[in-house]
Amino acid sequence: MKGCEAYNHELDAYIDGELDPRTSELLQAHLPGCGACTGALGRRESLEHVLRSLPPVQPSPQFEARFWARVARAEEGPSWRERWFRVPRLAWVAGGAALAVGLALLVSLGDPALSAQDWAIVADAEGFDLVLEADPELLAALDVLESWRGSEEL
Amino acid sequence: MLQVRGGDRRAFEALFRRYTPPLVNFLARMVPERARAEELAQEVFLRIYQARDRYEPRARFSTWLFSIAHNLALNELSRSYRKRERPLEDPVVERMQDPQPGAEQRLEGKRAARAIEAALARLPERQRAALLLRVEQGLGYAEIADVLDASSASVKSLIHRARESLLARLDEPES
Ligand SMILES: [Zn+2]
Repeated sequence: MKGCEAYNHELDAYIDGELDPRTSELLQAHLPGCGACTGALGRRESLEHVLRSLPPVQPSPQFEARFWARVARAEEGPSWRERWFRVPRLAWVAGGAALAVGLALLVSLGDPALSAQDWAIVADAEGFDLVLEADPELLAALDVLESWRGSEEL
Repeated sequence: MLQVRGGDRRAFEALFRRYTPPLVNFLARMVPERARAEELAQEVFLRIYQARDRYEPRARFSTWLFSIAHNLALNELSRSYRKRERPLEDPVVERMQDPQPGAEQRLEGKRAARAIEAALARLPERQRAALLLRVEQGLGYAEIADVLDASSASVKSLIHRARESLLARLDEPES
């Protein structure tokens, strides 16, 4: 049988449900006859209650928008190039015209995500030389373009 | 996460939204400034986003997430100690709106919460991280051990000492 001090070291694992079954049984048998250990357990349980009722710190409303802006900054340059190099060479030959058609279609739909500046970005992409600010909306627009081009090639 | 690995941005967004609140909460209790905690949370997600193609499902996603967060928090803390910043001022409870007038119990609750937050802020980093991961994130000792890169036995000891310190601090008369 352990002494109170040894049990005291097990109380946290006990309330966390992490105590091995054997020690847990011993502790449960000890508790009813020991005011000190019962008191210590009670104090821990109260502490636990207060800890769990702490108001969580909430993320600010701009958190997500800021994150995607950061992603866009981080992806400037190399990863853009990567993105376009991933398209097979043949697709560039066949896809050049299709891309233009896709762009025209996007513009004719009046997609506000592609500004005149973004137009220039996409046009430059054909020269594989692309170091420009990208924003998540543009990324999404490019995804649309890529899928369109894919379907037009069929 | 496997879907995210396949480049599914919507899958990443789902993880992002699911884990933003617990991650921000964890980091806000680990580092002194709230704004810095949010920047670090973004850094965590950015690293995950950039590594999404290399993710190997050997560990749970939450383990991976909080490991990165914990490491960034430790870096931040050693940096801010060098700058001699005060640890974790501006307790969260201070920023809450006052309870309705006359709500004695809520005032009492607010006082207790403020005392706990102040005591938490003074815990050694690893004790604080272990306890927060247990109490606020509901992680088991084995997963906390993975996050902190420690053994389960030392997690048990960290959590025990954390609760002992909190109880001792709360017993101190208010200054
Ligand atoms: Zn006892």
